[in-house]
Amino acid sequence: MIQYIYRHIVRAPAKTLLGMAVALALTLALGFLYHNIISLQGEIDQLYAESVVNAEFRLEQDFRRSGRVLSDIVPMRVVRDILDLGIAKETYLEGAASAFLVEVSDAPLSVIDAPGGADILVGVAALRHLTEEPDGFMGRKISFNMEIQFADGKNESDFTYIENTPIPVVISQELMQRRGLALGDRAYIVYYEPVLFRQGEWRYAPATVLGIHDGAGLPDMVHGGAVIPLPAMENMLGNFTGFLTFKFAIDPAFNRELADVSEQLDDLLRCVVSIYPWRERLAVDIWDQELRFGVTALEQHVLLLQLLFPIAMGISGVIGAGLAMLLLLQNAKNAAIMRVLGMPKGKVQIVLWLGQIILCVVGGLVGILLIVAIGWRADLLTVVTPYWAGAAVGAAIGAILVTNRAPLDLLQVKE
Amino acid sequence: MLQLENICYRYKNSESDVLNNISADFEAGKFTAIVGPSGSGKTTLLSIMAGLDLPTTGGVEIDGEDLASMDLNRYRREKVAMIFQAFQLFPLLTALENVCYPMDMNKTPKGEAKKRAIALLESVGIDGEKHKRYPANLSGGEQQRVAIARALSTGAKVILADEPTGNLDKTNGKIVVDILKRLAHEQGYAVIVVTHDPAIAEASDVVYRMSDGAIAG
Repeated sequence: MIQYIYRHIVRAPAKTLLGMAVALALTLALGFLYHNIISLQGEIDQLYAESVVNAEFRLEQDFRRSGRVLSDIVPMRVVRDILDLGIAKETYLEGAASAFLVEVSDAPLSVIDAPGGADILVGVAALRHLTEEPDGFMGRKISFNMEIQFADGKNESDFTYIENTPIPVVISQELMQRRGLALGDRAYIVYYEPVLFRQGEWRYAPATVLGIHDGAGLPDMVHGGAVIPLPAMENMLGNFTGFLTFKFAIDPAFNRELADVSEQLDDLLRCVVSIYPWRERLAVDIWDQELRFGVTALEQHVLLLQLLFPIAMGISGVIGAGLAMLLLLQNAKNAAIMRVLGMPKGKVQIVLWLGQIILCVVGGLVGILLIVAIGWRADLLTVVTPYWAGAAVGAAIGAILVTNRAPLDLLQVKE
Repeated sequence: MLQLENICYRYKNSESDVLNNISADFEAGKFTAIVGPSGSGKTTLLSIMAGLDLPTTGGVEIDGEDLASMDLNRYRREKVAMIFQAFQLFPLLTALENVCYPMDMNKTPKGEAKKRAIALLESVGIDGEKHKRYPANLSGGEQQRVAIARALSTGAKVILADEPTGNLDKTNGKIVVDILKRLAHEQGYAVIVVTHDPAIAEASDVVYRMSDGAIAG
């Protein structure tokens, strides 16, 4: 039996090659499709995992000074709520407050006597955010290139808030002239500390003029303002600290749920607006266009391939079945001869079936080896099984059909 | 050797008998011809004698053993052998391999099978270099002789030949008939030839004439 099969495989090269080549080709085709699906999904996963989507609170108009407080800026509560959501990976904040910067003098301090209107304080985490191009901060370079002239013996590293020490302040030329301050002068920051449900209090904090800035990069409204460390501002105003700028990078872990994130932020803002109606000009923008643009096309492509793949598997099975059956039906006479010579019907079916299946298995195995050699990522069994299964069924049907015919009908010459 | 007793055969879902009470005795050492026109039931009778089918009624015995109680596959492997008008050799096996095939099926050791096959081929006039040829590279007469050698390789003592000279010219046809007659007369085979050829009928020891599913006369 084995010899018969071997001889018929080796001595019919065209049939043998056809049987193997089709198995090989269809295995490779399915492997290619599968590999593409995996690769594209990998690209999508990578995009989601590595893309940094920035979000930014937008003041739809410049903030207003309303009496003693600044309104229409991002309140501390919103910042805390967003940070509590756990979606922010990195944040950039610029605080803003309304205060008076006055020179230290022997005269009693009186706010009412303070000359001119209130000054604007801007709180920043570090001066380099204003003076340098931070490296890829939240994926975007921010160029302010503010120029600062420091007091003698002072530099950027002195822009640090330490409790119970004077707050370092970098003021504008205009403020310097208006308040009669100079580099190195001691001063007071006189600020109104709001208190919930009752009248607030005026307070003052000692400060020292660390430097003079040229205003580059600051929003227009605070162009002439004084820059202090953000922790100092938060210490002064606590929960009443407001923010001029609130940007944050969304943690890439949430990139697949940006719609939900957007909804959460909208809900948050609605809540803020319901408490503070004047906050209605606050909005948050999520800059996800790049991510969406990149991902959408890929996701559509993957979906198409995922739809095509099972169809391709079906086609592979059908071709396997059809070809195996056709090639086997060509062996009808040989089957009849075997039966006439005394081989049991079942054994004839096995011989014919095996002869066909061996070709499919070899072809499929070569296909698998090629897939591995090329380095395609594919589930090897998934890509080869449809053809093998189809061929097994087709060959079985062919073997049954062939052996169900009366041998003499096939072997006799009809008149 | 091979006895048919009141054989009747009817196809499934058919209302009439294809074979009608056929009785015949095929003796060893005799060259018997079965002749008859197309549709007379020769093929059906041949099929029953070859063990490819069983009669609807009646019995077939070989050397006193009832065919109905035998394994038909074994019967075809050991008791009867067939040769055909179109030779019906395996096209992808050489002449030698074709003759060895039945012995391989019977699990005869390879060396022994090869030796016997060579001897059989040479006994029918197929010598040396032609053993390694494929059927397509042999003449019709040579192919039929290889088929005879294959039939003999089984050890069967009954040879059924269906129009063995139908595809051969006169010369080769005569060679084949002579071989078959020698097998019958000199080696004791029961040779049964189904044929239209009147010359074969004339040369036979016994002739059964079939008509409408029965043996006439």
